[in-house]
Amino acid sequence: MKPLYDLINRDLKIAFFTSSNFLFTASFFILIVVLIPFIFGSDSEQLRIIFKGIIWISISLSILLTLERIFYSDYEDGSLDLILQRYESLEIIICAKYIAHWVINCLPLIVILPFLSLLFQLTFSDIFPILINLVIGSMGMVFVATFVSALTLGAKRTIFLKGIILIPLLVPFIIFGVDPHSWPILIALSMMSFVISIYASAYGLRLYGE
Amino acid sequence: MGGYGFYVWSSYIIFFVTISYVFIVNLMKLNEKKKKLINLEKHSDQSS
Amino acid sequence: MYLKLKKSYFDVLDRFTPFLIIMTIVSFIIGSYFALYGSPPDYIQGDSMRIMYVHVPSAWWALMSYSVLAVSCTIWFITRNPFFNLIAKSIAPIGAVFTLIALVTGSIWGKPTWGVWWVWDARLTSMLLLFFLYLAYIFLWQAISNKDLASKISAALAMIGFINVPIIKFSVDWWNTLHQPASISKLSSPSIDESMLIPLFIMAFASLCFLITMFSVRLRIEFIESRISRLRQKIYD
Repeated sequence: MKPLYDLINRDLKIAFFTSSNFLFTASFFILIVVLIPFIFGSDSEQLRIIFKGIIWISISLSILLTLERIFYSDYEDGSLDLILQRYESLEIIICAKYIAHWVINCLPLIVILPFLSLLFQLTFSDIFPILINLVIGSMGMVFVATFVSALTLGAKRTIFLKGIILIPLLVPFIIFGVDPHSWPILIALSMMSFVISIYASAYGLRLYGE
Repeated sequence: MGGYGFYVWSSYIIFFVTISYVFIVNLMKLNEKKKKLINLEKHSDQSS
Repeated sequence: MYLKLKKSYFDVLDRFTPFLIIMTIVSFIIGSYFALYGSPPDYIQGDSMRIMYVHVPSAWWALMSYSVLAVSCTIWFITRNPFFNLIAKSIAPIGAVFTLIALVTGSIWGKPTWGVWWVWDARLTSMLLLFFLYLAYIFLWQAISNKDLASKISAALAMIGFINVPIIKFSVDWWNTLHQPASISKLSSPSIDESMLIPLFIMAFASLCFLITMFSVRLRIEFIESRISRLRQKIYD
């Protein structure tokens, strides 16, 4: 458990001290939400429906935008090589990335969501099923994003390419995430993507470690 | 075509134009590569 | 990429290509005659259902090409024989073209049937996502300059995409039943008359011939490319 803790601690420290990622993702979400009334007008009934959809758009966008930070920034400055040398088990490194990345990029959205929903006259009981789906779904999305990031480490023209690879893989999560009753399917999907992601990310990291 | 002529013909035209475009482009690419290969083989024979 | 394949293998492909081309052209001519004149119009949709004879075969072969791609990538994972990676690499663009044709003709068929060019119907949407899976595979090959690495990565991606295809199909069906009125699926007629099956099968056969022709041509391009890169190495060494 010590290496897992160390790696998570390292990523959180980097996020907290260098570019203040917590604030970045939260403010990104707030900014997207602020745009909604400007686009769709101030009819609160309509806004309520749109708000539920915008949550999923902003979470997939924030996952896409921070995709490079999972492995690529470590790969670029060479610290990925050091991590691969220091820690024997690839699975530990990958699991640490899941947790750290989820805490940095998805947790701020989930924490801020109940407060933002007040702006759209949504009560907590309205938002609660969405919140549950968001917690499960964002975990699954992080699993997918991690293996996409690990597999495309050596690719040029990266962000568009990664978008084309990532978005079709995220579609099932969004479809089941929007429906408040389908959380069991969402759990199954997330577990499945966890299994695939462990193998695929380890495969990707092993290729670049060679 | 019972009022649907535009849709039917345009879809057939799109189908055949796309297919022949793909066909011609790939044949041209193949010929180009063949020429390149022959040149290289000559070159490697001379050097060896 | 080193290939332990003899030159005679692709000489055989060379000899078969004219025969394949002739078969493709002849069967397309026969198929188009039956599709456009030799078959009666549908009694509900009228002549607009003649679009089916190009739309349905394209959709079939688009799905089949993706299965071939994924299966050959899986075999590559087991045997590590680069030949299977070349199969996958050469069939991907053809499958993408068929997917694109299926999307465009489906949209054209939608205009007289539904009154609109595009409907977020389960089949059209999952075809669109399939098109993006093809694009991702093709772009990944282009984006990674080290071809050996590109083959390994894209094979993994193709397998994951193949797992994703049924999930997408299932989820899009689910989404469709939630959000769409049932009347939209007018296209799914349960029984097709026999007189429509004949042109459909001829057109499907013709498209398959075209697919095999293009596949053999692209496979030869890949062979030659690998030979060229090997010769280059030899010369520069």
